[in-house]
Amino acid sequence: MAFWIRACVSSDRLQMKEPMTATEIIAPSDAPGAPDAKTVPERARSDTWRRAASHPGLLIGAALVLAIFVMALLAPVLAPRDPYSQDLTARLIPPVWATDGSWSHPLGTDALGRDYLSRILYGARISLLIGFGATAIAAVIGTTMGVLAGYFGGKADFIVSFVVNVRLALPAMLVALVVVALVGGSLTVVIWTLGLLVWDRFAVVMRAATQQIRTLDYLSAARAAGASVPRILLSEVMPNVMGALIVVATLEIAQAILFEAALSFLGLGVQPPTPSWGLMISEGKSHMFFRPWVIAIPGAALFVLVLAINLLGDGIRDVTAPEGRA
Amino acid sequence: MLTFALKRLGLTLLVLVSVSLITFALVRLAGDPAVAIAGPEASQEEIEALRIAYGFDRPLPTQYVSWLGDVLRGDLGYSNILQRPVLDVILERLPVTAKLAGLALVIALLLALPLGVIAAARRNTSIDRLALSIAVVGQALPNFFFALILILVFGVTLRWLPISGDATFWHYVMPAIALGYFATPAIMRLTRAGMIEVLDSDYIRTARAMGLPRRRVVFKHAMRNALIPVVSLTAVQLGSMLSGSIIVESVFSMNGIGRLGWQSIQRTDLEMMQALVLIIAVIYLALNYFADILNGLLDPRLRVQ
Amino acid sequence: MSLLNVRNLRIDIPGPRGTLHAVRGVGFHVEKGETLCIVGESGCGKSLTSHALLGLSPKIAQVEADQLSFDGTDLRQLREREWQSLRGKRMSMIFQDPMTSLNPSFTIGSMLEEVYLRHHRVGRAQARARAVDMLKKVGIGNAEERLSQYPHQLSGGLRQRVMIAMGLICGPDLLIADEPTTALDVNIQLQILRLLQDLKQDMGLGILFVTHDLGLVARFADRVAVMYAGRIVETAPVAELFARPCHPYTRALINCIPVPGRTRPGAPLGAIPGVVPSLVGTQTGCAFRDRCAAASPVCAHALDRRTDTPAHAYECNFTPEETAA
Repeated sequence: MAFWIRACVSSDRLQMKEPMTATEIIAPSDAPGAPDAKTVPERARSDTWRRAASHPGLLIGAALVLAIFVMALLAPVLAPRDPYSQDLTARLIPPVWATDGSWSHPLGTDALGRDYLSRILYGARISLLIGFGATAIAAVIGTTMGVLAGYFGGKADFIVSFVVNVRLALPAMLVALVVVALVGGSLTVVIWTLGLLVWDRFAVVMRAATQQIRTLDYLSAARAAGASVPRILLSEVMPNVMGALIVVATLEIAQAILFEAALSFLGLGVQPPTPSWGLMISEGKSHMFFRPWVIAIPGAALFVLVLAINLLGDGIRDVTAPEGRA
Repeated sequence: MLTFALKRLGLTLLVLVSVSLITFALVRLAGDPAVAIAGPEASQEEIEALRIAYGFDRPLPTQYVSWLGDVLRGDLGYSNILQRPVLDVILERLPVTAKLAGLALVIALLLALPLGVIAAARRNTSIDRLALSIAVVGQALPNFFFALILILVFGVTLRWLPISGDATFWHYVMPAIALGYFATPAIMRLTRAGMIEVLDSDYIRTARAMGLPRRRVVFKHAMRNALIPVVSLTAVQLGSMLSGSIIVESVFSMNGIGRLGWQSIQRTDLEMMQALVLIIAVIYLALNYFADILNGLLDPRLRVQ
Repeated sequence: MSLLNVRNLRIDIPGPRGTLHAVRGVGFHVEKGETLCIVGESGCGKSLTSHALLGLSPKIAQVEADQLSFDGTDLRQLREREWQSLRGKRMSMIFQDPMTSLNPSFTIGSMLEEVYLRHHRVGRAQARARAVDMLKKVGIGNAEERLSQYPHQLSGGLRQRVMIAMGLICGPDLLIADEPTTALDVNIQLQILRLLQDLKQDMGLGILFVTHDLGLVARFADRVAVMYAGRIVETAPVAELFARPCHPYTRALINCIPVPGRTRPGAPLGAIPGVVPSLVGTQTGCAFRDRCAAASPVCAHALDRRTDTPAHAYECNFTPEETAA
C-alpha cells in the first residue's frame, strides 16, 4: 500500500514535470542565476498566464467547462420546457436530426414524454452540484489529514496513512450503494456519501505536497520567528500547496460526477424524477435497441463534461508545475 | 526481507480488523436485522423472538466479537433471503468475477504497457500525443455507458458477441473490455512517466556511454526500473475492478460477486452485504500485500539489506 | 595525429526567451597518454562540452564544430550505430555521481560483463574473468564476491571505482571524466585520482578530465584549459599555468585558493565579484569584462588571441603585465 501511495504521488510529481527550458537542461544548478534548491522557485504570474494561454488542452477544457456551467446556470431560461412535465402522447420522439424529429423537441423525448433538452440542461445542474459539493467535503477532510500528516510526520503521518489504507481497502462503490440503500437516495445523501468516501486522494497528494516544502528554509524562518503552528499551516504551507490542491480537486470533481452517474444508473443515487444523466441512461436502457439516442445523448453529455474537466485539470497541472524539479 | 514481509503483514491485518469494524457498524447502524429477517409481515412478538434467537439483543461489541469469531472460523453467516450459508454463495460466484477481472487486467496491460513505453521513448511525437489522447478519452467515458455502447455495437448491430450471461469465454470479452479500459489510462500514464524519469536518469546515460544499443537500453535497462511502481498500481486497479464489477456484471447479467452485491442490497440481505464488503476488502488487501512483496523482490534495494 | 581534436565547438540550446549559446567556439586537443584538464565554474559549459564528445548531448541541443575528431574519425556526422561501436570501446566516459550512475537493479558483475560482451565476441566465462580482472585493477578487494553485489551495497568510492572499471574494461584509448570526484569525500578523491594516474600509465590512456577544482588540476593535469562562459580563455601546460597565469580570470581563480603559509589567517578569502553573464543572444567581445579589474572599452567588442609561449595560449586584449596593474 505504501508503494501505491508512493506510485500515485510519483506519477503526480512526474506528471508535474514540465518540458524543460534550455537552462534546465544544462542542470538546474549549472544554470546561471538558477534558484537555490532550498528557496521556493518564484514563478512570475505573467509567466503562468502566458503558458496557460498557449496550452490547447487547458483552453479547450476551460471553455467547455465554462460553457456547461453557464448552460446549467441558465437552465430555467434556456430549457424549452419543464423537465418534469410528462406528455404521454409525445413519447420517445427522436432528436431533430433524425427522421420524425422536430424542433419542438430538439433532443427528442424520453419514455414519459419529457423533453430531453430540458432534462439534459437541468441534469447538468445535478452533475455539477454533486461534483462540486462532494469534492468540497472530500477536499476539506483529505487536505486537513494530508497537510497534518505531511507537516508533523511521525505519529500523525502513521495514523493518517493507516486511515487512508483502511479507506482504500473498502470497496467504495459497494459501501456507497449500501449507505444509499439503507438511508434513502437524495441529493444531500449522495453528496455526503461521496464526500465521505473520496477524500483519500486529497490526503495522499496533499501529504506529499506538504512534505516537499516542509524542509524549505522559509518555513524554518517562520518557526524561528515564533509563529504558532496553525498560523504557519495557514499562511505559509497552504498557499504553496494550493497548486496541487487545485489540480487534485479538478480531477476529483470529474471522478465524483462519474461516481454519481454510476450510482444513479444503478438506481441508488439521485431518485426519479430528478433528471440526473446517469438516471436518464438507466431509464433509457430498455429502449436503447431501437432508439439509441435515449442513452447516447446523456452519455455524450457526461463524456463531454468529464473530458472538459479532465483537460482543465491536466492543463492546470502542466502549467503550474514548479521548475527545476529533478 | 523477512522482517519486511512480516511488518507488512502486521499492518495489513490491522487494516483488516478496522475494515471489519466499519463494515459491521455500517450494516448494524443502518437497519434492524431482526426486522430484515422477519420480513414486512411479521408481528412485534415474532420480531422480538427472532431478535433473541439470533442474539441481536446482546450489546453491539459482543455481537461484533461473536461475528468476527465466526468469520475467522470460516462461517460468514447465513443468508435468510437465499436460505443458504453466505460463504457457499460467495464461493460459487467468485470464479466468474475472478475470470472477468483477470481478463480485464490482461486487456488493460496489453494496451497500456506498450503504449506507455513507446510514448516515453518517442516523447512529444505523434504517437506520444495519440497515447495521451487515448488516456484522456478513456478516463472520461463512464463505464456503464461504454458497456451499453459495446452491447449496441458488437452485440446487437454486428452480432459478434453475446450480450448477457457468463457461459463461455466469448461472454467475457465485452464485459472485460468495459471493465478494463478504465484502468488503461492510469497504467499507461504511470508507465510513461516512469519510463521518462528513468530514461533521463544518470544510469541510463552510463549505459548509453558504454555503447549499449538503444533497444536494449530501453527494454532491458530502463523498463526493469520503470515498471516497479506499475506493479503496485496494477494491484490497486485490480482491486478497483472489483468495485467496478458491480456495474459491469449487472449490465451483462453475469453471476459474479459484483452482481451478488447489487442483488443483496436490493433484497436487503444484511448478512450477505456484510460478508461481501469484508471479502472484497480481504481480496484487495491480499492483492496489495502480494504487490508489496513483489516490489520487494523486484527492487534489489529492498531485498538485500 | 592527436587522439582527440576539437576546433570551434559550438553548442546552442533554443529556449523560450532566445537561443542560449552555452558553448561558443571551444577548441582543444588531447594527445595519447596525456591528461588534459578542463577547469571552470558551474555553468561555464564544460559538462556540455564533454558530453558532446560522446554524442550524449541533450536532444534539443544543436552541436556544431569545425573539427571534432577522434583518432582520425570525424565525430560530427556519426550515426547512432557508429557511436555505439565507439563508446565504451575506444572512448569511454565516467560521470560525476556514482550514487545515481549505476543501475540499481543489476549486479556489478552483470553490468561489467555486459559492457565487455557488447564489444567482444567471447564467452560468458571469459567476460566474467575479465570483469574480475578489472575490479582488481581498480583496487577493489574481494573481486569475486563483488560481482554478485548490487550498487547500493557499495560505498561511493567503491562505486566510482566500479564506474572506472566499466569505462576501462574494453581498453579504450581515451577516457573522458566529468567531475568524477566531486561527489566524493576528500580522502576518497585522492585515492581515485591516484588510481586514474596509475591506470593512465598502465594502459597508455589519454584522459580528458573536467573539473571545477583547481587544486585537483595542479595535482593531476599535464595540460590545462580554463573555461569561462562557454569559451576556453587560457590553455597551458600545468606548471606554466600556475607559474604564470596570463588571463585575469585564471589569476583570480588561483588567488581564490587559500594556501597554508601564504594566506594570512583572518584575511578575507578571495572572491571574484559579479556573476557569470547571461549567454542568451549574441555576444561580442570578452565575456569576463564586467568582472575584470583591467577591463577597458575595447573589451566590449574585440578579443585578441595571444600566445605567451608556443604551448601557452590565452584570450585577452592585454598582456599579463598590463592586467596585473
